[in-house]
Amino acid sequence: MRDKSLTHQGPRQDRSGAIWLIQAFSGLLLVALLLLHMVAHHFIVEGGLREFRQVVDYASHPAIFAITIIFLIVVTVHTVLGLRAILIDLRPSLAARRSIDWLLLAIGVAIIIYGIWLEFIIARL
Amino acid sequence: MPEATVPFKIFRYKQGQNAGHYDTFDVPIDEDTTVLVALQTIRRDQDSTLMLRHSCHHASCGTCAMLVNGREELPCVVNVLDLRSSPVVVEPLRNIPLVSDLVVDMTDFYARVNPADRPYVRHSEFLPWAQTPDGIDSYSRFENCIECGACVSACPISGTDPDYYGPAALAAAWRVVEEPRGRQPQQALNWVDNEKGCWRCHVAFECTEVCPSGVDPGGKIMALRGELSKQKLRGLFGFGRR
Repeated sequence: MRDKSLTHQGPRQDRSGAIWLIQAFSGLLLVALLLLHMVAHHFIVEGGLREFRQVVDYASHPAIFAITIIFLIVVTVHTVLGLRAILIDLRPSLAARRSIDWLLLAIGVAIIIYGIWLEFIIARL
Repeated sequence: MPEATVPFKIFRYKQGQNAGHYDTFDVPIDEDTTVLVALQTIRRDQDSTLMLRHSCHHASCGTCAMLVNGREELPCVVNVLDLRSSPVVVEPLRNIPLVSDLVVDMTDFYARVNPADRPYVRHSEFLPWAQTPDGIDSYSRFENCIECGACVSACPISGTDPDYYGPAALAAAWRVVEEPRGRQPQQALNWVDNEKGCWRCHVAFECTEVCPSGVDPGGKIMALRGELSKQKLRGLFGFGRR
């Protein structure tokens, strides 16, 4: 039996596989949610969402409220991971990479918190 | 009898020079002349300092791979008149250290591909209906990859990240998973399961486009991802080993 101990060559296993899986699944979810979003906006509401009150009523519906927040989280996760992949192509140093990871995490969390806060504001109008 | 004279614009570089440049040579061509034969003609008749690598002359060894008109090719099987270009621009492979003129240093390339320990023979998928002689279970054939380096030259990630394993090494790892022949598939999978391995690929599929042997390295990288994804998901839901 040959054994050249591949596991001792090159970098060890890391979390890049898990990150790729999250990006892939968030991409799939994006397609489904975007489709749902467009169908709901253009076909569920008769004549489409044309007036401010219609939009507020639509956004306040508990199911739509939940879907919008899921949509927001999925878009943010997918975008932040995509941006991270591009930044890593620039071959930053290890220290810079850690900063990039924390910065992107902070930006992502801020976007999600701000988006959820906005959703609550709109739902109360 | 030569049918035409075709100018060849060839990248030149010698050790110690600050930068490369291009020299142009007019080469008599007939209907059977390949780019490799034209380069050998230049070396024989016009400039004996022109450096190039070659061996088999029939796309079996992969030694002569280079850029012909900006695309990775095996010049031994590229007919000059079929290119319909003037001049024909010939350059060394990209993303592999340059030694001189059209010669690149394949040391790093082999150092990346060899750890996969890919078997050089594989079960033949051709002629599945063919009867085998007594004592032979099935036909085998040689592995597709001829280790020419064209995939690494075309890969945009190999161009930006020298630590990336590259498509040839990753395709070799998949061969171990696909048909181990005594090797350890899980070790091959663990080897590529990191950001310098199969997850680094940006799915440009340039490697598959330029591969002269139909290896489909891009497809193999996706196969590695698929297998690792299955393992990770099984592990996540408590079915698997990880």
